[in-house]
Amino acid sequence: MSTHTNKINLRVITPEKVAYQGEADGVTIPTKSGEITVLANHIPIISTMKHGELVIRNGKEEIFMAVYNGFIEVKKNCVIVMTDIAERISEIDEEKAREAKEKAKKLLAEKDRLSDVVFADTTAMLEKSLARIKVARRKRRR
Amino acid sequence: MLSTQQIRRQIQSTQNTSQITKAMEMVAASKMKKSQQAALLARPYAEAALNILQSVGESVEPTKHYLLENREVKNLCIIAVTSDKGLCGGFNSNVLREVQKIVNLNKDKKISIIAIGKKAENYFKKRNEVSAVFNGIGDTVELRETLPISKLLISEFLDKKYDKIIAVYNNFISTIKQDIKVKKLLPITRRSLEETIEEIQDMAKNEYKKNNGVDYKFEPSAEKVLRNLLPNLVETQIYHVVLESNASEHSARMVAMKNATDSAAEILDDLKLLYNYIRQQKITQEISEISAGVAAQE
Repeated sequence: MSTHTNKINLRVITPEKVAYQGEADGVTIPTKSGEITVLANHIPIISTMKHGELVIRNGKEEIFMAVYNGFIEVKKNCVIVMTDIAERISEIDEEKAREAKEKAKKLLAEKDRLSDVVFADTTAMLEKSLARIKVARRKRRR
Repeated sequence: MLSTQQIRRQIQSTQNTSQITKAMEMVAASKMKKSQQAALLARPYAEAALNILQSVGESVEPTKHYLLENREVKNLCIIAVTSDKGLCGGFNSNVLREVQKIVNLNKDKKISIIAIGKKAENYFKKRNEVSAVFNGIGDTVELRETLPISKLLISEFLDKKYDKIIAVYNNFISTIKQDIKVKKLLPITRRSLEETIEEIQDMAKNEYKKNNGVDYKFEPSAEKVLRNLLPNLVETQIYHVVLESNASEHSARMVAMKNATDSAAEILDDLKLLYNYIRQQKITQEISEISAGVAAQE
Protein backbone atom coordinates (compact mmCIF):
# COMPACT_ATOMS: atom_id res chain seq x y z
CA MET A 1 0.00 0.00 0.00
CA SER A 2 1.35 3.38 -0.90
CA THR A 3 2.05 5.49 2.14
CA HIS A 4 3.39 8.60 0.51
CA THR A 5 0.20 10.46 1.19
CA ASN A 6 -2.27 10.53 4.04
CA LYS A 7 -4.64 12.92 2.37
CA ILE A 8 -7.57 12.28 0.13
CA ASN A 9 -8.55 14.39 -2.82
CA LEU A 10 -12.19 15.25 -2.25
CA ARG A 11 -14.85 16.73 -4.47
CA VAL A 12 -18.42 17.34 -3.36
CA ILE A 13 -20.59 17.99 -6.39
CA THR A 14 -24.26 18.91 -6.68
CA PRO A 15 -26.14 19.37 -9.95
CA GLU A 16 -25.83 23.11 -9.50
CA LYS A 17 -22.27 23.60 -8.35
CA VAL A 18 -19.09 22.15 -6.91
CA ALA A 19 -19.56 22.57 -3.17
CA TYR A 20 -16.10 21.47 -2.04
CA GLN A 21 -12.92 20.73 -3.86
CA GLY A 22 -9.54 20.06 -2.35
CA GLU A 23 -7.52 17.93 0.01
CA ALA A 24 -8.87 16.49 3.23
CA ASP A 25 -7.76 14.07 5.93
CA GLY A 26 -11.04 12.23 5.89
CA VAL A 27 -14.71 12.46 5.19
CA THR A 28 -17.69 10.93 6.97
CA ILE A 29 -20.59 10.09 4.73
CA PRO A 30 -24.12 8.87 5.50
CA THR A 31 -24.68 5.92 3.16
CA LYS A 32 -27.74 3.73 2.82
CA SER A 33 -25.95 0.93 4.60
CA GLY A 34 -24.72 3.08 7.46
CA GLU A 35 -22.31 5.90 8.10
CA ILE A 36 -18.81 5.40 6.74
CA THR A 37 -15.60 7.36 7.12
CA VAL A 38 -13.23 7.42 4.21
CA LEU A 39 -9.55 7.99 4.98
CA ALA A 40 -6.53 7.78 2.72
CA ASN A 41 -5.87 4.44 1.03
CA HIS A 42 -9.46 3.30 1.22
CA ILE A 43 -10.48 0.43 -1.06
CA PRO A 44 -12.33 1.43 -4.26
CA ILE A 45 -16.01 1.64 -3.51
CA ILE A 46 -19.20 2.93 -5.05
CA SER A 47 -22.08 3.45 -2.70
CA THR A 48 -25.44 5.19 -2.42
CA MET A 49 -26.09 7.97 0.06
CA LYS A 50 -29.08 8.95 2.10
CA HIS A 51 -29.95 12.21 3.83
CA GLY A 52 -27.81 13.34 6.73
CA GLU A 53 -24.65 15.07 7.70
CA LEU A 54 -21.40 15.04 5.77
CA VAL A 55 -18.27 15.86 7.76
CA ILE A 56 -15.06 16.89 6.07
CA ARG A 57 -11.95 16.87 8.26
CA ASN A 58 -8.84 18.68 7.22
CA GLY A 59 -6.23 19.31 9.90
CA LYS A 60 -8.04 21.03 12.73
CA GLU A 61 -10.78 22.24 10.48
CA GLU A 62 -14.12 20.51 10.31
CA ILE A 63 -16.74 21.33 7.71
CA PHE A 64 -20.30 20.14 8.16
CA MET A 65 -22.73 19.87 5.29
CA ALA A 66 -26.35 18.84 5.02
CA VAL A 67 -26.68 16.36 2.17
CA TYR A 68 -29.55 14.53 0.55
CA ASN A 69 -29.24 11.35 -1.50
CA GLY A 70 -26.60 10.71 -4.09
CA PHE A 71 -23.56 8.56 -4.65
CA ILE A 72 -19.94 8.31 -3.66
CA GLU A 73 -17.07 6.98 -5.65
CA VAL A 74 -13.74 6.23 -3.99
CA LYS A 75 -10.74 5.40 -6.10
CA LYS A 76 -7.03 5.81 -5.41
CA ASN A 77 -7.43 8.48 -2.72
CA CYS A 78 -9.81 10.30 -5.00
CA VAL A 79 -13.24 10.71 -3.48
CA ILE A 80 -16.20 12.04 -5.41
CA VAL A 81 -19.43 12.77 -3.56
CA MET A 82 -22.42 13.45 -5.79
CA THR A 83 -25.46 14.65 -3.95
CA ASP A 84 -28.69 16.55 -4.57
CA ILE A 85 -27.96 19.22 -2.00
CA ALA A 86 -24.80 20.16 -0.09
CA GLU A 87 -25.29 23.07 2.26
CA ARG A 88 -22.85 24.38 4.81
CA ILE A 89 -23.94 25.63 8.21
CA SER A 90 -23.84 29.24 7.05
CA GLU A 91 -26.20 28.47 4.20
CA ILE A 92 -28.86 26.85 6.34
CA ASP A 93 -31.87 28.68 7.68
CA GLU A 94 -32.76 26.60 10.73
CA GLU A 95 -36.06 28.34 11.26
CA LYS A 96 -37.18 27.52 7.76
CA ALA A 97 -36.00 23.93 8.06
CA ARG A 98 -38.05 23.49 11.23
CA GLU A 99 -41.14 24.90 9.58
CA ALA A 100 -40.65 22.59 6.60
CA LYS A 101 -40.24 19.65 8.94
CA GLU A 102 -43.47 20.40 10.80
CA LYS A 103 -45.36 20.93 7.58
CA ALA A 104 -44.07 17.68 6.10
CA LYS A 105 -44.90 15.77 9.27
CA LYS A 106 -48.43 17.11 9.29
CA LEU A 107 -48.93 16.10 5.67
CA LEU A 108 -47.48 12.66 6.20
CA ALA A 109 -49.80 12.05 9.17
CA GLU A 110 -52.66 11.66 6.70
CA LYS A 111 -50.71 9.70 4.14
CA ASP A 112 -53.68 7.59 3.06
CA ARG A 113 -55.05 10.58 1.25
CA LEU A 114 -51.83 11.51 -0.50
CA SER A 115 -50.97 10.41 -4.00
CA ASP A 116 -47.69 8.57 -4.52
CA VAL A 117 -46.03 11.58 -6.04
CA VAL A 118 -47.02 13.94 -3.24
CA PHE A 119 -46.00 11.34 -0.69
CA ALA A 120 -42.55 11.02 -2.25
CA ASP A 121 -42.17 14.80 -2.45
CA THR A 122 -43.19 15.27 1.15
CA THR A 123 -40.87 12.55 2.35
CA ALA A 124 -38.04 14.21 0.47
CA MET A 125 -38.90 17.53 2.06
CA LEU A 126 -38.94 15.96 5.51
CA GLU A 127 -35.61 14.22 5.00
CA LYS A 128 -33.96 17.35 3.64
CA SER A 129 -35.14 19.43 6.58
CA LEU A 130 -33.99 16.75 9.03
CA ALA A 131 -30.52 16.83 7.49
CA ARG A 132 -30.46 20.63 7.67
CA ILE A 133 -31.59 20.70 11.30
CA LYS A 134 -28.97 18.16 12.24
CA VAL A 135 -26.19 20.26 10.75
CA ALA A 136 -27.60 23.53 12.07
CA ARG A 137 -27.47 22.15 15.62
CA ARG A 138 -23.68 22.11 15.38
CA LYS A 139 -23.68 25.87 15.37
CA ARG A 140 -25.18 26.07 18.84
CA ARG A 141 -22.97 23.45 20.37
CA ARG A 142 -19.87 25.45 19.66
CA MET B 1 -40.98 64.32 -51.19
CA LEU B 2 -41.39 63.89 -47.46
CA SER B 3 -41.77 66.92 -45.29
CA THR B 4 -39.14 67.73 -42.68
CA GLN B 5 -41.71 67.18 -40.00
CA GLN B 6 -42.42 63.64 -41.15
CA ILE B 7 -38.74 62.82 -41.21
CA ARG B 8 -38.25 64.29 -37.79
CA ARG B 9 -40.98 62.01 -36.51
CA GLN B 10 -39.31 59.01 -38.12
CA ILE B 11 -35.97 59.92 -36.59
CA GLN B 12 -37.58 60.21 -33.17
CA SER B 13 -39.27 56.83 -33.37
CA THR B 14 -36.14 55.09 -34.66
CA GLN B 15 -34.20 56.61 -31.81
CA ASN B 16 -36.74 55.34 -29.31
CA THR B 17 -36.60 51.86 -30.79
CA SER B 18 -32.84 51.75 -30.69
CA GLN B 19 -32.89 52.82 -27.07
CA ILE B 20 -35.17 49.91 -26.26
CA THR B 21 -33.11 47.38 -28.20
CA LYS B 22 -29.96 48.69 -26.57
CA ALA B 23 -31.49 48.19 -23.13
CA MET B 24 -32.66 44.71 -24.05
CA GLU B 25 -29.21 43.89 -25.31
CA MET B 26 -27.69 44.85 -21.98
CA VAL B 27 -30.26 42.86 -20.02
CA ALA B 28 -29.68 39.83 -22.23
CA ALA B 29 -25.92 40.21 -21.83
CA SER B 30 -26.07 40.07 -18.06
CA LYS B 31 -28.53 37.15 -18.10
CA MET B 32 -26.33 35.43 -20.63
CA LYS B 33 -23.34 35.59 -18.32
CA LYS B 34 -25.31 34.05 -15.49
CA SER B 35 -26.84 31.31 -17.59
CA GLN B 36 -23.55 30.46 -19.25
CA GLN B 37 -21.98 30.12 -15.85
CA ALA B 38 -24.83 27.93 -14.62
CA ALA B 39 -24.36 25.68 -17.64
CA LEU B 40 -20.67 25.39 -16.89
CA LEU B 41 -21.18 24.71 -13.18
CA ALA B 42 -23.57 21.87 -13.94
CA ARG B 43 -21.07 19.99 -16.04
CA PRO B 44 -18.92 18.36 -13.31
CA TYR B 45 -21.99 16.64 -11.87
CA ALA B 46 -23.08 15.23 -15.21
CA GLU B 47 -19.53 14.10 -15.80
CA ALA B 48 -19.27 12.38 -12.42
CA ALA B 49 -22.66 10.69 -12.90
CA LEU B 50 -21.65 9.29 -16.27
CA ASN B 51 -18.35 8.22 -14.83
CA ILE B 52 -19.99 6.18 -12.10
CA LEU B 53 -22.48 4.76 -14.54
CA GLN B 54 -19.67 3.52 -16.70
CA SER B 55 -17.96 1.87 -13.77
CA VAL B 56 -21.22 0.18 -12.87
CA GLY B 57 -21.83 -0.78 -16.49
CA GLU B 58 -18.53 -2.60 -16.59
CA SER B 59 -19.39 -4.62 -13.52
CA VAL B 60 -23.03 -5.53 -14.18
CA GLU B 61 -24.81 -6.46 -17.35
CA PRO B 62 -27.00 -3.38 -17.64
CA THR B 63 -29.98 -4.98 -19.30
CA LYS B 64 -32.34 -5.56 -16.46
CA HIS B 65 -33.58 -2.10 -15.81
CA TYR B 66 -36.77 -0.53 -17.09
CA LEU B 67 -35.08 2.66 -18.24
CA LEU B 68 -32.76 0.65 -20.47
CA GLU B 69 -35.54 -1.28 -22.16
CA ASN B 70 -35.39 -1.01 -25.93
CA ARG B 71 -38.91 -1.45 -27.32
CA GLU B 72 -40.26 -1.22 -30.81
CA VAL B 73 -41.04 2.47 -31.25
CA LYS B 74 -44.76 3.00 -31.69
CA ASN B 75 -45.14 6.04 -29.50
CA LEU B 76 -42.60 8.75 -29.95
CA CYS B 77 -42.34 11.67 -27.59
CA ILE B 78 -40.63 14.85 -28.65
CA ILE B 79 -39.65 17.52 -26.15
CA ALA B 80 -39.45 20.90 -27.82
CA VAL B 81 -37.37 23.29 -25.73
CA THR B 82 -38.08 26.93 -26.56
CA SER B 83 -38.34 30.19 -24.66
CA ASP B 84 -41.32 32.03 -23.22
CA LYS B 85 -40.37 35.28 -24.86
CA GLY B 86 -39.54 36.14 -28.43
CA LEU B 87 -37.16 38.64 -29.99
CA CYS B 88 -34.25 36.29 -30.07
CA GLY B 89 -33.60 35.75 -33.75
CA GLY B 90 -33.96 32.24 -35.10
CA PHE B 91 -33.74 30.65 -31.68
CA ASN B 92 -37.31 29.38 -31.46
CA SER B 93 -38.13 28.92 -35.12
CA ASN B 94 -35.09 26.68 -35.59
CA VAL B 95 -36.31 24.32 -32.88
CA LEU B 96 -39.87 24.34 -34.21
CA ARG B 97 -38.71 23.64 -37.75
CA GLU B 98 -36.58 20.71 -36.63
CA VAL B 99 -39.43 19.23 -34.59
CA GLN B 100 -41.80 19.61 -37.54
CA LYS B 101 -39.29 17.79 -39.72
CA ILE B 102 -39.11 14.88 -37.29
CA VAL B 103 -42.91 14.80 -37.08
CA ASN B 104 -43.15 14.60 -40.87
CA LEU B 105 -40.61 11.79 -41.02
CA ASN B 106 -42.42 9.69 -38.42
CA LYS B 107 -45.96 9.76 -39.74
CA ASP B 108 -46.37 6.04 -39.04
CA LYS B 109 -45.91 6.51 -35.31
CA LYS B 110 -48.04 8.11 -32.70
CA ILE B 111 -46.35 11.33 -31.74
CA SER B 112 -46.78 13.29 -28.55
CA ILE B 113 -45.15 16.60 -27.99
CA ILE B 114 -44.05 18.06 -24.69
CA ALA B 115 -43.65 21.79 -24.99
CA ILE B 116 -41.22 23.68 -22.81
CA GLY B 117 -41.75 27.42 -23.22
CA LYS B 118 -44.71 29.37 -24.54
CA LYS B 119 -43.41 29.54 -28.10
CA ALA B 120 -43.54 25.78 -28.55
CA GLU B 121 -46.89 25.60 -26.81
CA ASN B 122 -48.49 28.16 -29.13
CA TYR B 123 -47.05 26.54 -32.23
CA PHE B 124 -48.01 22.96 -31.52
CA LYS B 125 -51.37 23.61 -29.96
CA LYS B 126 -52.66 24.45 -33.42
CA ARG B 127 -51.08 21.50 -35.18
CA ASN B 128 -50.40 18.40 -33.13
CA GLU B 129 -51.23 16.79 -29.91
CA VAL B 130 -49.49 18.52 -27.06
CA SER B 131 -49.45 16.19 -24.10
CA ALA B 132 -47.79 18.46 -21.58
CA VAL B 133 -46.66 22.03 -21.28
CA PHE B 134 -44.04 23.47 -18.97
CA ASN B 135 -43.88 27.23 -18.91
CA GLY B 136 -42.25 29.83 -16.76
CA ILE B 137 -38.93 28.14 -16.27
CA GLY B 138 -36.97 31.09 -15.06
CA ASP B 139 -33.85 32.70 -16.37
CA THR B 140 -31.88 30.99 -13.67
CA VAL B 141 -33.00 27.39 -13.63
CA GLU B 142 -32.75 25.27 -10.57
CA LEU B 143 -32.80 21.53 -10.59
CA ARG B 144 -36.09 21.37 -8.72
CA GLU B 145 -37.78 23.31 -11.53
CA THR B 146 -36.98 20.60 -14.03
CA LEU B 147 -37.77 17.68 -11.72
CA PRO B 148 -41.48 17.57 -12.64
CA ILE B 149 -40.48 17.13 -16.27
CA SER B 150 -38.18 14.20 -15.59
CA LYS B 151 -40.71 12.63 -13.24
CA LEU B 152 -43.36 12.77 -15.93
CA LEU B 153 -41.01 11.28 -18.52
CA ILE B 154 -39.93 8.41 -16.32
CA SER B 155 -43.47 7.47 -15.31
CA GLU B 156 -44.82 7.69 -18.85
CA PHE B 157 -41.96 5.60 -20.15
CA LEU B 158 -42.64 3.06 -17.44
CA ASP B 159 -46.34 2.95 -18.37
CA LYS B 160 -45.30 2.33 -21.99
CA LYS B 161 -47.09 5.45 -23.14
CA TYR B 162 -43.86 6.48 -24.79
CA ASP B 163 -41.37 4.04 -26.27
CA LYS B 164 -38.76 6.62 -27.10
CA ILE B 165 -38.18 10.14 -25.87
CA ILE B 166 -36.08 12.71 -27.63
CA ALA B 167 -35.38 16.36 -26.92
CA VAL B 168 -34.87 19.09 -29.50
CA TYR B 169 -33.05 22.14 -28.20
CA ASN B 170 -30.42 24.78 -28.87
CA ASN B 171 -27.02 23.60 -27.79
CA PHE B 172 -24.82 26.37 -26.53
CA ILE B 173 -21.46 26.52 -28.26
CA SER B 174 -20.48 30.15 -27.99
CA THR B 175 -22.15 33.53 -27.74
CA ILE B 176 -22.51 33.78 -31.49
CA LYS B 177 -23.02 30.12 -32.25
CA GLN B 178 -25.79 27.79 -31.15
CA ASP B 179 -26.63 24.50 -32.79
CA ILE B 180 -29.90 22.67 -32.96
CA LYS B 181 -29.47 19.38 -31.26
CA VAL B 182 -31.61 16.25 -31.13
CA LYS B 183 -30.84 14.23 -28.04
CA LYS B 184 -32.23 10.83 -27.18
CA LEU B 185 -33.18 10.71 -23.52
CA LEU B 186 -34.93 7.37 -23.10
CA PRO B 187 -34.32 4.50 -23.31
CA ILE B 188 -30.77 4.98 -22.10
CA THR B 189 -28.37 3.12 -24.33
CA ARG B 190 -24.65 2.67 -24.22
CA ARG B 191 -24.36 4.60 -27.47
CA SER B 192 -26.31 7.63 -26.34
CA LEU B 193 -24.27 7.70 -23.15
CA GLU B 194 -21.00 7.58 -24.98
CA GLU B 195 -22.17 10.47 -27.13
CA THR B 196 -23.04 12.51 -24.07
CA ILE B 197 -19.70 11.76 -22.50
CA GLU B 198 -17.91 12.86 -25.64
CA GLU B 199 -19.90 16.08 -25.73
CA ILE B 200 -19.15 17.01 -22.16
CA GLN B 201 -15.57 16.06 -22.61
CA ASP B 202 -15.36 18.25 -25.70
CA MET B 203 -16.90 21.19 -23.97
CA ALA B 204 -15.12 21.00 -20.68
CA LYS B 205 -11.83 20.08 -22.36
CA ASN B 206 -11.35 17.66 -19.56
CA GLU B 207 -9.53 14.45 -19.77
CA TYR B 208 -11.99 11.66 -19.34
CA LYS B 209 -10.41 8.77 -17.57
CA LYS B 210 -11.69 5.29 -18.13
CA ASN B 211 -11.77 3.18 -15.04
CA ASN B 212 -9.76 0.39 -16.44
CA GLY B 213 -8.89 -2.29 -13.99
CA VAL B 214 -10.30 -0.66 -10.89
CA ASP B 215 -12.18 -3.29 -8.98
CA TYR B 216 -14.95 -1.52 -7.11
CA LYS B 217 -16.84 -2.74 -4.13
CA PHE B 218 -20.50 -1.83 -4.47
CA GLU B 219 -22.75 -0.97 -1.58
CA PRO B 220 -25.41 -2.26 -1.16
CA SER B 221 -25.03 -3.94 -4.60
CA ALA B 222 -24.22 -2.98 -8.16
CA GLU B 223 -27.83 -3.48 -9.23
CA LYS B 224 -29.10 -1.19 -6.49
CA VAL B 225 -26.59 1.48 -7.36
CA LEU B 226 -27.73 1.25 -10.96
CA ARG B 227 -31.38 1.46 -10.00
CA ASN B 228 -30.72 4.65 -8.05
CA LEU B 229 -28.39 6.13 -10.60
CA LEU B 230 -30.46 5.86 -13.77
CA PRO B 231 -33.42 8.08 -12.76
CA ASN B 232 -30.85 10.50 -11.44
CA LEU B 233 -29.17 10.52 -14.81
CA VAL B 234 -32.41 11.31 -16.62
CA GLU B 235 -32.99 14.21 -14.23
CA THR B 236 -29.50 15.51 -14.80
CA GLN B 237 -29.86 15.28 -18.55
CA ILE B 238 -33.12 17.22 -18.63
CA TYR B 239 -31.61 19.85 -16.38
CA HIS B 240 -28.63 20.01 -18.66
CA VAL B 241 -30.81 20.42 -21.75
CA VAL B 242 -32.75 23.29 -20.18
CA LEU B 243 -29.55 24.99 -19.03
CA GLU B 244 -28.00 24.77 -22.47
CA SER B 245 -31.17 26.10 -24.03
CA ASN B 246 -31.27 28.98 -21.56
CA ALA B 247 -27.69 29.98 -22.22
CA SER B 248 -28.42 29.83 -25.96
CA GLU B 249 -31.59 31.89 -25.61
CA HIS B 250 -29.90 34.79 -23.90
CA SER B 251 -26.95 34.69 -26.26
CA ALA B 252 -29.27 34.63 -29.27
CA ARG B 253 -31.31 37.50 -27.89
CA MET B 254 -28.24 39.55 -27.16
CA VAL B 255 -26.94 39.10 -30.69
CA ALA B 256 -30.36 39.81 -32.21
CA MET B 257 -30.72 42.97 -30.18
CA LYS B 258 -27.21 44.09 -31.04
CA ASN B 259 -28.03 43.68 -34.72
CA ALA B 260 -31.23 45.64 -34.25
CA THR B 261 -29.38 48.46 -32.50
CA ASP B 262 -26.77 48.53 -35.23
CA SER B 263 -29.29 48.72 -38.03
CA ALA B 264 -31.23 51.38 -36.16
CA ALA B 265 -28.03 53.45 -36.10
CA GLU B 266 -27.67 52.94 -39.84
CA ILE B 267 -31.25 54.00 -40.52
CA LEU B 268 -30.76 57.02 -38.29
CA ASP B 269 -27.71 58.10 -40.30
CA ASP B 270 -29.65 57.83 -43.55
CA LEU B 271 -32.62 59.69 -42.17
CA LYS B 272 -30.50 62.50 -40.78
CA LEU B 273 -28.77 62.90 -44.11
CA LEU B 274 -32.10 63.07 -45.88
CA TYR B 275 -33.43 65.52 -43.32
CA ASN B 276 -30.50 67.90 -43.74
CA TYR B 277 -30.71 67.60 -47.49
CA ILE B 278 -34.34 68.61 -47.50
CA ARG B 279 -33.74 71.40 -45.00
CA GLN B 280 -30.92 72.83 -47.07
CA GLN B 281 -33.00 72.58 -50.21
CA LYS B 282 -35.75 74.49 -48.51
CA ILE B 283 -33.38 77.23 -47.34
CA THR B 284 -31.86 77.53 -50.79
CA GLN B 285 -35.31 77.78 -52.27
CA GLU B 286 -36.35 80.48 -49.80
CA ILE B 287 -33.19 82.50 -50.42
CA SER B 288 -33.65 82.31 -54.15
CA GLU B 289 -37.27 83.37 -53.76
CA ILE B 290 -36.29 86.37 -51.63
CA SER B 291 -33.49 87.43 -53.94
CA ALA B 292 -35.82 86.97 -56.90
CA GLY B 293 -38.32 89.27 -55.15
CA VAL B 294 -35.62 91.86 -54.46
CA ALA B 295 -34.43 91.65 -58.05
CA ALA B 296 -37.98 92.22 -59.31
CA GLN B 297 -38.38 95.37 -57.21
CA GLU B 298 -35.20 96.96 -58.52
